[in-house]
Amino acid sequence: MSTCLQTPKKLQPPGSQRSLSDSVQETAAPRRPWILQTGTQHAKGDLAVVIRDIVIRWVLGGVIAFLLVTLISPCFLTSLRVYEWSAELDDYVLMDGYVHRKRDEGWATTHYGPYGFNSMAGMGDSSASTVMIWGDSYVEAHHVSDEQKTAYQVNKALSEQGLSHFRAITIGRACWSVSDYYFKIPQYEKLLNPVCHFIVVAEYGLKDLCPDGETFLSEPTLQFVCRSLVNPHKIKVITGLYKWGLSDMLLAPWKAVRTVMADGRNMRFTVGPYRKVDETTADSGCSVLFAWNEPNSIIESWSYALDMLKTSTSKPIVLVLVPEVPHLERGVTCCVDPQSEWRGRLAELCMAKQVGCIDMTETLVNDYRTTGKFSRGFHNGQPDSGHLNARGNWLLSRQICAYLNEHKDSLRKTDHAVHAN
Amino acid sequence: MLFTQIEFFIFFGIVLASLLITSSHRIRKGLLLLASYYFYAYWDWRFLSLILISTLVDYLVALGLARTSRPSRRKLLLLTSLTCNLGILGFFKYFNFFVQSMETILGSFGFHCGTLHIVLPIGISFYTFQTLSYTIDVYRSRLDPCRNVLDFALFVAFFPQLVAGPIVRASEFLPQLRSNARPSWYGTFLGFRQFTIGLFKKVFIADHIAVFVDYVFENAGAFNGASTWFAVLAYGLQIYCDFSGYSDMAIGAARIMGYNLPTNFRSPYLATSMTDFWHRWHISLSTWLRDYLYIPLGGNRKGRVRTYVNIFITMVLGGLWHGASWTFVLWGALHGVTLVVEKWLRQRFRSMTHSATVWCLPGILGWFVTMLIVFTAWVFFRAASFRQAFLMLRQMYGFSGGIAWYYPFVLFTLLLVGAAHVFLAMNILSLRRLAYNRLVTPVVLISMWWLILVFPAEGFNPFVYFQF
Repeated sequence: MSTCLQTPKKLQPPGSQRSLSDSVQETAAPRRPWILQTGTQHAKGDLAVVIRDIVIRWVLGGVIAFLLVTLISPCFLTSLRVYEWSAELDDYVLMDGYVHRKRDEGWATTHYGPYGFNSMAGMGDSSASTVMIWGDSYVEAHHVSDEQKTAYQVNKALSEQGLSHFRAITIGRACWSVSDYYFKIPQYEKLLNPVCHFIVVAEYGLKDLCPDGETFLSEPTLQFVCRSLVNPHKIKVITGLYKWGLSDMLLAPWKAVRTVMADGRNMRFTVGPYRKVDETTADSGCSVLFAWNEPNSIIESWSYALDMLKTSTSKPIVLVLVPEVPHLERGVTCCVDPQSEWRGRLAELCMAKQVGCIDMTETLVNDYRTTGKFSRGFHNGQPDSGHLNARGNWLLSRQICAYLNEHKDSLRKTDHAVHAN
Repeated sequence: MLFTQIEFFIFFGIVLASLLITSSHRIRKGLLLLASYYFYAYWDWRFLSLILISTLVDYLVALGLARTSRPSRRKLLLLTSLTCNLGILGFFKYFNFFVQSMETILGSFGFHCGTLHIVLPIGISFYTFQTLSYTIDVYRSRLDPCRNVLDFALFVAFFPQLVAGPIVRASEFLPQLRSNARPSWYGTFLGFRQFTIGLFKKVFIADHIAVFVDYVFENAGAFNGASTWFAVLAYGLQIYCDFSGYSDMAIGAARIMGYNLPTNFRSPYLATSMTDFWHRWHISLSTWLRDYLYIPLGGNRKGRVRTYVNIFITMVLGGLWHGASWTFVLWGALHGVTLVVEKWLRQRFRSMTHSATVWCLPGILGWFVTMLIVFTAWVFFRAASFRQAFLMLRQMYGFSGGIAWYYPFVLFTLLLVGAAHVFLAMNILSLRRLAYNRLVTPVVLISMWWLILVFPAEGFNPFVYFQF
């Protein structure tokens, strides 16, 4: 069969001075069926030995590799959350004694005590007036150490300022939003009997106050839906493993399975252009504003949310707005929040509804101008954005302390009224 | 389809199984060709037509060259191939670039030519150069034309190296297609080893580093000098791991199927001179440029000045090959200038002392100077604009103040890779230590797979050289 070509003698393949795969030294294998071609020569009768040798070596190697990576990965992976049921709170809370490691943004360890409270902040002096600080992952603050979290810093500052009759406790969980606060405030009030509630809104686009289609619905009418973020079956497994000291062993395999499943969900075999999922972005390229069709409906949603929050408690509620400023934008530090107008409208609404509102924009910007430090970001994330770092938590704690200082008399009256009742 | 997508593993498994169970050599090649076309069409089936056109034109041109010995007719045939291939490449890759570049000049005469919305076909730079090398070799009578259209089509479209190289020569690959290459046990091991190392370099190292590098370049000028240098070093590592990783995967995949592709990288960051660097970095491209651009321009046969000019032109065009942007041209020009200076220094000092070594800087100093030039040039390669590049350089060489950001993973990886290079240079570290019959081999290779799965980079990260 006339096939391709004869290589002329004068043309040497360009790589002739180097081997084609010169990183490998290949021993010349005899011409055998491929299954028998190995790096070493064996007689026919040794096929079983060869296969056994290969299988044992690779299986053993695989086991060693699995153990090696599995054993070291807990140092570099965020730990799995371990929950327990709390009858008092009628909900799953992080287990008493559980130690959470956060590794993907920030590098910190959080210790938990009873009822899922951070044990360093602790319950403190139970005779003190409790101030509850609600929020999502920003308040949960796994990204910073216990001493750098808002509650600890608030309590420390209160003590320094002679306001130790107040104690702060943070109640935060990743992915929580306004509807979660609405359902949980009454439950926690039974346990702690607070004098006021601070709700930290730090997620971009004031998203936690807006309809999300899951827990805060806007169709057919505005309504809150109660939900649980935890899967009881999964918790049972993880808690069981944790009690045996094996939950860290699960980390690496769990992560690997998630990686494969995530890739698997995006699999396709049809020919055609690859389409990347686009995210909506604001014109200025700044933080994403929560996508909605009619801006007026947002005011309506906020009004509904504030009304509902007020029905969940008789105690004062204070919103703490933490915008994403300052941040880097094409090499320049941007101190202007593109959502300042919306924050202004929210503040007006709060005033009309007699809900407290602290806007931290000026605090954050002035702090940056003075110290050159960002209030968000970590070395293993991005230096200017993401969750509040130690500096950000400190600034937040100062704002809360300042508010408590300013309103300590009215809060004391509230507290006395509660005790009198 | 990318090598790092799960679809590829399924696809490759099916292809490999088909090759193993098929005894007919012809059918195996046919299956491989169909698989290659599917692989390319997975990205966008419409651009398969360009590969088919290129294949057909060069196949026929080569046959025509074999049939005639008249110089004018042979030149015409070669010109046809060059026009077709470079025309396609020029239109899809450089049309908008030239229009935008000429806009200011044309605009002053009242001509306004808008740009077109042109999608750049992936791998066009690679397979175009590949087919051109074939045609030119046949024209030079260094190669007999391939008369088997199946073999030639497979040479052009062979999927492991189709979209990002290595650029394979017909003289290397076509004999393998003729020789009934089949997977072998040992070849499978070698291929798997190389593929794994490549995958690890790309997914575990390069993709994680990209998170840091992209942000610093995006905010050029905001970070302090040390952080900026850190980012530039990281980019050098990223592009090396990304590109050499892809090459390793291509070579490994081909090896598993029984085919050998040329080595494309040989520890380029151990180079002690710019010439040495180009003997180690993207070897298939540098040899292509030498054989099909530098030598036809005259090489070093037309006097000293002409030699320098030829080197400079070759490197500028090499830069332009990488991307339709003036930053790539400047990157190529920088390399060209440094190569010329190096050559001049060698010639000058050699003529003075008749010693071949006196013009060489001592090894470590030569290495340092070379790396300084290479990494400074990478700034232009990576930057989206001259402004961005100059902001980066200002921070690097001005040591200005700014934000300090030292991404821990990048720091760790730079130190680790630096140590690995030192061991490589001392011949302590070698791929030979991952031999077939050693227990450490499966431990290392499976650990790499496990680390890739446990620590994935977030998001979709195409290969850096995908855009070329």
